[in-house]
Amino acid sequence: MIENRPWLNVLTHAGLLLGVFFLCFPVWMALVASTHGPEALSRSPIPLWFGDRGWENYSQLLAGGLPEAGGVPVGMMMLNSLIMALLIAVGKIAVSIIAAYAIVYFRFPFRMGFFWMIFITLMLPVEVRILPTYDVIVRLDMLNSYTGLSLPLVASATATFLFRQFFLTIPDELVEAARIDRAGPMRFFRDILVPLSRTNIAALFIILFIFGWNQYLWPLLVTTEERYYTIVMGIQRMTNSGEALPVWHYIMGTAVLAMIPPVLVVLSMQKLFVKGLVEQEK
Amino acid sequence: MAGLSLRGVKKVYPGGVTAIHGADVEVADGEFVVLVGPSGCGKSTLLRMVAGLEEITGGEIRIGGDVVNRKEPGERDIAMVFQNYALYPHMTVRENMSYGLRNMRTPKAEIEARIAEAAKILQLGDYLDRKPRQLSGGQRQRVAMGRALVREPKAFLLDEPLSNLDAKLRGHMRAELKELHQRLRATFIYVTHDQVEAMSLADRIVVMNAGRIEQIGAPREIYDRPATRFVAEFIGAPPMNFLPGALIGANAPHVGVRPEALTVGGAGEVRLDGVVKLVEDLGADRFAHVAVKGAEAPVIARVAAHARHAPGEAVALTAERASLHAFDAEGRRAA
Repeated sequence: MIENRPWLNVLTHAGLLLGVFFLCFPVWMALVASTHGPEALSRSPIPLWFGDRGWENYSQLLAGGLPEAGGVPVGMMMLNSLIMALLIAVGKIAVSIIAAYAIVYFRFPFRMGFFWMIFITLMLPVEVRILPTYDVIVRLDMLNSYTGLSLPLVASATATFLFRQFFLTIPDELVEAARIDRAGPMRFFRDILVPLSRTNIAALFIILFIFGWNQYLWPLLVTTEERYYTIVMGIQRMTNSGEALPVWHYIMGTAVLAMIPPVLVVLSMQKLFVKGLVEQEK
Repeated sequence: MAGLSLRGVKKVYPGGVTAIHGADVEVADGEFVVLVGPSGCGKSTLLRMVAGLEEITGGEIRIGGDVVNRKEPGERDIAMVFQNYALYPHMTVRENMSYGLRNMRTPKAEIEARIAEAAKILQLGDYLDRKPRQLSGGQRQRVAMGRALVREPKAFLLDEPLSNLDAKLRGHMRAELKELHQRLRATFIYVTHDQVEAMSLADRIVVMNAGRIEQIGAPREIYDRPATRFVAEFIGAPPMNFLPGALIGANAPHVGVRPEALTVGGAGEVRLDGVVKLVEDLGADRFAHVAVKGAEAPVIARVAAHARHAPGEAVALTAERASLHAFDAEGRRAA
């Protein structure tokens, strides 16, 4: 559809700009607030431009432990979050691509049964099965460990389903050509299926990394030691300052820092991401 | 290189549908055999059974003397060219060609040498580092051929390799294939539904219909002495004309006559009177469709290039008795 009406262009751009403003304003406010002193946000009018304490605030956040955050340095919490998010993303992709491979390319008894069993776990996210899962993790002695943080989140019906759908689009002739070329199941998987799934893997990685990074409830449950605290938990703990004034400049600073890794992941992989969602490499 | 032998090869699908009712074919070393038939006749299934991609329900397949019924496709020492080429999209041409050899742990230097050789034969030298999607249809076809070539297999199996190309390129690649076979002197089994490809490429043709082999023979033999009415109709374009035997005084129920055996006017022993319905001009040849009383379909006759026949014109078609093919009621050749 091609339309050429100038006032319509102006209108659509105004709409888009409004949308961008709504999206960006909170981020802007967080950036601004993180460069002021603690009282700036409690005063009226709220500042809309950067203050002079940015360097001070951020170095304090990254290096020293803040009493308001339980004395854990933000850098350490970010590292914990990064490890957890990476373990979840990589683990989910690894498990689901193998599961999808089994379901699509091998004939074994109750194949479809297994597929539907995986599928119905879509209805059972961590929040629903939180008590039994917690019980399992306790019995396995995995409280306060990276394994405990990530393992229960690793199984993924969505990713399995996505890989299955992708594998079904790979022509049978390609599989047959590989058989004639003496590629056994492992070789076929490694040399052909995984490289062909590259864009899908990238797209999934972004989604799953952010999913892992944003985990809140589960880390809150399984970590009691401060050295396993994640960044999202940290932000929450800072806002719960009880009687004292919330340290908004630190909270906003932490929020800004917490945004950086997901943003980096998205920026660095966005080309592959779009490719993975839109086009299938033929 | 080696010969192939199929004895009583049967294919019955789990649902009970029989795709192939016992096929017997002997392929000599270095022979170019074409399996031809309409779609669904089982020709591809038969080829895939030779390749090992389809299980064999009954009978036995030997490649170079060894029974291969239970062998994996990779162990049969064959190479296959697929209709859609089935190139690995993420690999370069070089990697595509070397993949099978690498899996067989062929020494690097030997792989390089074989690829260089195949690239020279197929004129792929400039494309070795490209990905398949950067190639045209004809080039992809060559790469698929190259991938088979470097394997130096006992037999080449080709499953409608030219059917995805446009008509002009198809003619060109057909000639290239023929040349390649003459150069390699390797065993080729080639599946197609196109009788022109079959006629022009084959040393011997296997005509199949509905899971049965109708006739095996050299192209000329099949054209000149079709064993069944099906073969007579399938091979040759435009197809052979069929008339009730009584119409021309033969004692067989069905009589076939090829368009080029009929002449307008002339002094043949057999004469048919009819009215021209239309004239097809194909450049080199002109074919007249003539409505003949007593025949089910219009009779097609090749007419001289200079002759002018208008629709509605009454003509007499004549043919020699020797050029007639008589078939019995079951469609088998009667003497």
